This record gives sequence, structure tokens and C-alpha cells, in this order.
Amino acid sequence: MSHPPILSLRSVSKSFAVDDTRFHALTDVDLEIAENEIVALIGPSGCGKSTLLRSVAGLEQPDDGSIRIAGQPVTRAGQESAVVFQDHRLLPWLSLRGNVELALEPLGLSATERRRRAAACIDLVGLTQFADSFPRQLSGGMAQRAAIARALVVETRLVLMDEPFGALDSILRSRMQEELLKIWQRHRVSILIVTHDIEEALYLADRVVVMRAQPGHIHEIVPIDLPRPRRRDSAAFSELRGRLLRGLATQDHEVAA
Amino acid sequence: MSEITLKGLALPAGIVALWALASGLGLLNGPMAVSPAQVLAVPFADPDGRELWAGIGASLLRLVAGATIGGLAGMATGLALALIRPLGTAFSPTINALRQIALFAWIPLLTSWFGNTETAKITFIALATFFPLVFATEQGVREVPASLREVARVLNLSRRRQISALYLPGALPAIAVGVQIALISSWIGTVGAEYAIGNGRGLGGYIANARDQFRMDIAIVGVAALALIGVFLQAASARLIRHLDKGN
Ligand SMILES: Nc1ncnc2c1ncn2[C@@H]1O[C@H](COP(=O)(O)OP(=O)(O)OP(=O)(O)O)[C@@H](O)[C@H]1O
Ligand SMILES: [Mg+2]
Repeated sequence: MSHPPILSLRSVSKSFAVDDTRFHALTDVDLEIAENEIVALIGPSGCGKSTLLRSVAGLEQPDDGSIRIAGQPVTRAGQESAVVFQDHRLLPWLSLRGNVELALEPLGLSATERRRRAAACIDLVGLTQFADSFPRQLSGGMAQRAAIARALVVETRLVLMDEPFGALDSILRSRMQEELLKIWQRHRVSILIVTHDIEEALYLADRVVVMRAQPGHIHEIVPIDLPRPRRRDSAAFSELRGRLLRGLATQDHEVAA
Repeated sequence: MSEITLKGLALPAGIVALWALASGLGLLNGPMAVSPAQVLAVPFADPDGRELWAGIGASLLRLVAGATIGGLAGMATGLALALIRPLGTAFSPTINALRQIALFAWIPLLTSWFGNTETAKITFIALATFFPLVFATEQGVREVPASLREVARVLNLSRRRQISALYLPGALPAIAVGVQIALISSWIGTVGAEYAIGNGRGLGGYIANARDQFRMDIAIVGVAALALIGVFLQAASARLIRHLDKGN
């Protein structure tokens, strides 16, 4: 990490008011993501993964601590980052192309330039044939890929993804993981990805952040020093899978105890 | 659909048949008794009755002018009430209260402000369109899902683009229902205003003249035209709504 980090969180806390009490979704979270790094967030449901991601996206305002993207404090939504939500959230009344071009409008490009960049990104996710289709005409997987194109087309240096492949079947899911790595290699972006799937985290990430609940916090950060392309059946892969599983499982005992 | 139309026509057709029978047998007497044949000839042969077409034209023009003004103002107001929270809390109750005023109760107010003028009529029609559209738009915009609002925010869309690319298209189905309600109330408002305020061409004026001259045949033609155009507007807007629903 010789370069300054693209993202840095310093003792970030966030609580929600729930029936006259405060529910602590995040306490004292410290995390840095380097340029061109992929970091995966895993942890049990309700441990604050989405809350963390949404805070970086500027959709939640932390109570405490600081979040900086490329050195700048996050003060508004969509600052220097692009977001892929778990559901595709395409605007139903715009075609796939219209949805992707809409993301480019704030950049003040010419219409031709917008069209060119949108077409290139739609091609990247393999949907050129469907560029003029409307979201309701796309399958779930296609719509999700369209949402990824919409996030990538603005070419922000940081891409935030909240269980982006959660709705896909396992074959499509592993194909999308490969496509994402290709895009990442070509565009040199940094990616923060939330996932429920340990294998997905191991396949994609340079580091895996294991979170725990009550209150939501970072339990450990596991570096994944496996060369790419990674083989899911390699010994090193299964050893790391075992380690992450244990990291996740211990908590259940603690909670049960 | 055609079956429904046919069933709907059965009752009026029966009444006309009875009416034709009654006047054919000489059961109807006096200056107010007219035969269906007489009424049918009115829009074409009668020198006063022929004014119907010009009247319909004038009324429809007035409807378009008033409904456009009121509709656009209504949509803008609904949008502002839904998107600017302090405006919503400050003005929604007032507008809701004004809406409770029966439409025709505005006529004395408007004529005392504007006199028996075209301005009074257009304002009245605009009011008839305004209220349904304020509420349809406000409700439609409020119902745009929070998930899509977040998308607009993370995409850094300008306020203007949020309105044109998110809120208005999102509210469109609700607005279309508002337009359907507004069209009927503004059409009745148009003819009502012409009838009550008098002077100037229009279907309402046509009916009012028929009343003044004791011309039952012309009055019947005017009322039938009023109803038929209302049915047509209703059908046209229902069709528009079906088309929009298919699109989403
Ligand atoms: N707006 C909110 N108001 C109240 N509580 C909230 C709000 N948003 C999140 N929470 C709570 O904060 C906790 C963390 O939520 P979060 O969505 O970040 O979990 P998560 O780790 O993403 O879970 P999952 O894996 O199920 O998506 C949860 O207990 C949730 O109920
Ligand atoms: Mg979540």
C-alpha cells in the first residue's frame, strides 16, 4: 500500500433508532482499500455489511468517524463511487441503453460520446443484442448485468457491490464472477463487494473482511494471497475456506452461549 | 367490449322506441312534446339547431385551453407538494379543503372577480382540472419506490433530471387516472360554465338558448351531445390508461 488508499474508514459507527433505543449496526469500523484492490465483506445476516456499504455510498450518514474516498470526506450520495445493489433497480420505463446512458448524463458528455461509452459497456457485459430491450423483457441475470454496466460506465475509481450476484443461479454466478475479474483487470478499479458466499469472496478478493453482529464490527481481515485465476479445488483454496468458515462459525457459539 | 356496448345501448334504444310510439300515436301534446324524427333533424335542418356544431367546436376548444392550463398547474403543484416537504405540510391541507368546495360553487366567485367573461369560464375549467391532477400527481410521486430514489441519488442526477427521468415517469400511471377523472369533471365544468355564465358560443350556451326559446328539441340534442362527448372522453382516457399499463 504505497499509494494512498482509495477508501479509508476511521472508527466509523452507525446506529439506528429502534423503539426508543439505539441499535448499533456498526461500531468502530476501520478499513482501508488500496487502488485496484478487491475487498469482500462477509458475515452473518444483520452484521452491518449493507450499512457499511451504504455509508460509503453516502446513503447513510455515520454517527461517528470519517469516511474518505481518494482523500475526500464523503458528504453526499454517489461521490466518486458507483453502486450495484442486490436488486437491479433499473428504471422500468427506460431501455437498457437508456438506463446506462442516464448514468453518464451528469458527466456533461456529448450525446454521441454517451452513446459510444454506453454501447461499449453494454458489450462488456454481453448484452449488445438487448440494448433496446426494457427491464421487464430481461431475465434476472441479464438485468443484474445491465445494472453492473450502469455502474461501470461512469468509470469511477471505486465500485461498491451489495450481493450483486445473490439472485443468480450458480452457473451464471460463476460466469459473472469471471466477467467481473476481466472488467477489473481491464479498468483497474477498486471493488468493495458484499457477499454471503465464502467461495465467491475467496475467488474474487485480495482480502476478505469478516464481520460479526451485535454490535456490527470487523472481526478479522484475511489476506487471500492466491494467484489468479484461482482454482476452487486447490488445497490452498479449501484451507482458506475452512479458516473463513471457522471465523464465521465461532460467533454462533458465542451467541448461543 | 362490443357486447357491453350493445347491452348499454338496450335501455336508451327502448326508451326512444317508446317515445317514438307515443308521439306516433298522438299521446304527447303541447309545445314541449317533440318526436324523435324532429329531434334527429335539428342538428342538420333547423337554422337554430345547426348551431350545434359550432357550439361543440367552441366548447372543445375551451376545454382544451382550460384543461391544459389547469392540468399543467395541477401537475406542477402536485410535484412540488410531494417533493418539497415544507410545502407539502404547509399547503396540502389547504388544497384538500379547497377541493371539498363543490365545483359549481366557484362560479359566483369567479364571475364576481372576472365578470361574465371568457376568463371566468377558462378559469373555472382550469379549476375543474387542477384539483384531480394535484392529488393524482402528489400521490403518484410519493409512491415512487425509495429504492429508485436512491438510484437517482447515487447516479448524481440533477434535480431536473430526477423529475423528468424518475418522478414524472414513475407517477405517470397515477397521473393518467387523474387525467381521466379530470377530463370528465372539466368537460362537465366547460358546459356548466357556458350554461351558467352565458354569452359566447358553446354547447352550454346552445342549451341555454334552447331553454330561453322553449325549444325542447334543440335542448334534447344539446344534452345528448354533452353526454355522448363525455362518454367518448371517458373511453379515450380509459384506452390511454390501458396503453400505459401495458407499457409498464
Ligand atoms: N434504516 C434502518 N433502521 C433501523 N435499523 C436498520 C436500518 N438499516 C439497517 N438496520 C439494522 O441494522 C442491522 C444491520 O443491517 P444491514 O442491512 O447492514 O445487515 P447486513 O449485514 O447487510 O445483513 P444481510 O446479510 O441480511 O443483508 C440490522 O439489524 C438491521 O435491522
Ligand atoms: Mg445486506
